[in-house]
Amino acid sequence: MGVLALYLAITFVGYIAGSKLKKTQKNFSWTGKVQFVAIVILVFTMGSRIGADKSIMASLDSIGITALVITVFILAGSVGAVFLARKLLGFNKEGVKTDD
Amino acid sequence: MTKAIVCSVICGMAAGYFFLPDWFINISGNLLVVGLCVLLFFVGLDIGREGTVAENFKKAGWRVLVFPFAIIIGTYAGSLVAGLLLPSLGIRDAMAVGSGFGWYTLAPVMLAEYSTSVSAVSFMHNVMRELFGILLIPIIAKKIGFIETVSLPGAAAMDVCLPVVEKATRGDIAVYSFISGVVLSIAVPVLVGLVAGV
Repeated sequence: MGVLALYLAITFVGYIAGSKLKKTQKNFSWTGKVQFVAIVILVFTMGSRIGADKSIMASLDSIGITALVITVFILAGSVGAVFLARKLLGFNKEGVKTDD
Repeated sequence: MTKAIVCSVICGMAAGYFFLPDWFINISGNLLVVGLCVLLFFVGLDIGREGTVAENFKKAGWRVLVFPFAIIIGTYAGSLVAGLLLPSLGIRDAMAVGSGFGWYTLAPVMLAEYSTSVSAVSFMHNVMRELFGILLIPIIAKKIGFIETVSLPGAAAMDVCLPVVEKATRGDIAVYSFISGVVLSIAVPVLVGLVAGV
């Protein structure tokens, strides 16, 4: 719970800093590079934990099938829920409001 | 970008499997927390600098918020059914995997300490959600409806998949896509954290 609060607080601090910096119109192309390096380090480290766990490495095929099954159900559930919400709000197939 | 990330994960797995020492794996939990802090700070910075979130909300009205919440409910409904069908996974782990909403660089990293195997499923699921999303957007737009396309990629509806949605539908559906992606992106760290008890 503590770590979650830390993550949210840091995202919020970033948001505030970003809103303030917006007016300076400086070039911020380096932030994309920093993010990319952070992502590469994170996913490499996550991968190393998976690789170091021999029982997981032995069952990668079943992990892949599990991920595929869950993805199919989640995509169907998401499309179905948005379909119902769209009907309830009275939008047509093209996303245009029709009943007011 | 996706290729570089998948390559990094595979290199990490090979390194962990073949030669990385135990002490690296032991400190990796702390490294992940520090890395996530850096990443999330810059994610916040980008959203703040963009400054278009409020404008987009005004343009589309309150109804636009119904759709990301419908996506959250639909995703958990799908996770629940998958969790019941896959006893090896179980409902809580399936919910933890579903909470990623396609954000494959954040959700599986957050889950790394909760369970390495759930983290592995999460990575694969979230990559699949984005890839299948891109492939299915034009089909769903034609067969089912325009707004439904936004639900497929989840959080990536605000960036990677935004041009795909716009091309398959109309310019103003891109506003739905962007807002939905923003709401889900904020929801990912909260929901992964709550379900997995981070």
